[in-house]
Amino acid sequence: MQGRTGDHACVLQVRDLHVTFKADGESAEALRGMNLDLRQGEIHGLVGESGAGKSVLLHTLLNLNRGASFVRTTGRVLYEERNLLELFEPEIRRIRGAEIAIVFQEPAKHLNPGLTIEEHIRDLLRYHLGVTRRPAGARTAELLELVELPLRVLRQYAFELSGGMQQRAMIALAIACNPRVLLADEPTTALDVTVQRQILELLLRLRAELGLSVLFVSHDLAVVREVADRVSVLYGGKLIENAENSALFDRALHPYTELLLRSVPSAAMRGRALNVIPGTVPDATAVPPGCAFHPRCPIAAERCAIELPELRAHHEDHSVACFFPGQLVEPAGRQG
Amino acid sequence: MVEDWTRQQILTAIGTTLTALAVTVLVVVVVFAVYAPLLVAHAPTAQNLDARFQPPGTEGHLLGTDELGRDVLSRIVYGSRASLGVGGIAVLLSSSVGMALGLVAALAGGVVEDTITILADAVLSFPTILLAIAVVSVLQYGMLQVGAAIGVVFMPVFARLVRAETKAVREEGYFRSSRALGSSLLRTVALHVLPNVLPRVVVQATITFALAIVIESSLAYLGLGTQPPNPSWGLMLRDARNALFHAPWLSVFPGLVLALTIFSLNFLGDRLAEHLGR
Repeated sequence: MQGRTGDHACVLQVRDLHVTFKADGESAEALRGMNLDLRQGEIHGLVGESGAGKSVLLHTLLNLNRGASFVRTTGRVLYEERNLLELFEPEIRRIRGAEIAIVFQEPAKHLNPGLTIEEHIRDLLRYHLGVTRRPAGARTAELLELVELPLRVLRQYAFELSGGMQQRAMIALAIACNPRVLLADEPTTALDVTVQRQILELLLRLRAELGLSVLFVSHDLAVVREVADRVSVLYGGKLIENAENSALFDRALHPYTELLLRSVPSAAMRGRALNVIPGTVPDATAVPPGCAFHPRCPIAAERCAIELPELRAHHEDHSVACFFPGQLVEPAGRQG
Repeated sequence: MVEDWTRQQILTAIGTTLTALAVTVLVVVVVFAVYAPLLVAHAPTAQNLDARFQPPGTEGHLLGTDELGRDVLSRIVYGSRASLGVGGIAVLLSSSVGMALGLVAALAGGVVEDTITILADAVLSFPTILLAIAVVSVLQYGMLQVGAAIGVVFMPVFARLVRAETKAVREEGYFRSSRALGSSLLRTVALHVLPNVLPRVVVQATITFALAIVIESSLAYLGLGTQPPNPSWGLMLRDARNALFHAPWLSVFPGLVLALTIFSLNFLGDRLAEHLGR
């Protein structure tokens, strides 16, 4: 496993991660042996349908899984040679926000309507860095400049800002303490397309300027294609394909990835029926045996229903968890 | 002029006037309690059997005297101490402990939450006065004890209120993002939960204060609160009932002060609630 990452420096490594929840008395495995490497300075796109386990993964990375339905986590999340899952609460708290920060999907909901943007940022600075009032003022101004917001925003409340500005404020909050890793949970999904583009550009710029490593979770393939260096595809609580951006989008090896790419509507398809993948994502309480995708897979063989395909390198830097990688035949008339 | 005013403006004007009046009443009562010795000419317990049942307006006794010749005004002024003292103790106790219980219940969940909720419901299911009588009987008579008894009775009200509000805020994105960015639970509660909870607690405290004063008076009336000869509005009403027909002022004035105080507190509580949009 470790060898697969080769000479790339990884900031965050997920190893054999299992997360179990309880739903209506049944146990549901939201993540089933997940492995992931986040390399230094990369934007790593994580794609998957709703229910694939994307949000669970982000919560688990910060060890935030709590509540009555949560059962247990096994596996490792390695950050600076420490397993985050084994840290005590005060230790993990020092990492949350300060070293690994998170940006959420709906910024309006994740900013307190009773606090100004400045109060949000200042509180975080004081908490993590012990910064006092005056230096905090300089830092907040600097942060706003970084995310291209006018200074007046400091005195404003989240509801006074547009969606794009809210997300910028949320990003400013996330990078306030100079984290190394940024987890982005569908940061552009709630925004309209032009604003989406600006936020993506902002993320790209911040990555370059601050050397952030970004785990970018999205169900939007177009967005991921735009920003990600590497892309991982999540299905049924496991990674099923992992490759460099262009490799994945040009030559997907897993039938699920391939079908997912084909299902994206394009102008060339005008007037034709949309490509859909029949069936639905398996419920976490009843994931099929063998390859989780086999009931929906057009090229599934007997073996797929019995044996679980492991994620292996198919060729350099391109891994896939399928017994028949790249064998889904292209339908006539599809452009590459 | 007046006929040009819209209905809304008239209502607003009345509301503002009443608010000012309510505030005035409360300020006067507080001044009574704080500066009682400076305000009155007679000690509240000083008897003068030569001057029993003097009607209001008598020289030296503005509101008359009672069956032992004690000055009614002095007793009313001093009586405010019992009312405000007991009310204050009750509100402080019930709001602080109730709030703590509510927060713990909402944040801990599980068995802890169930236990607190069930206990709170159990206390709430008793008639308030009955429970207060029971608690006072176990403790002793005295301002602190009566205040504590009433405080215990109202604790569940605050616990439920705070629990509900905390549970709501806990599900908010900003609560979760605060935790995700590293804040400790206590810090997150202080920053995000308390500002949401406190306004409601203040409103509830105002109304509870009024209720506590009523209960204090009721207990005194029943002989379970302030003990004679110390003055209390409830006690004055109790002593006055035998003389209701030939000395009605003994009932009217304490009753009026009591009613005005309660009305002012309730009215301000309502205005506060309206102002906070709840």
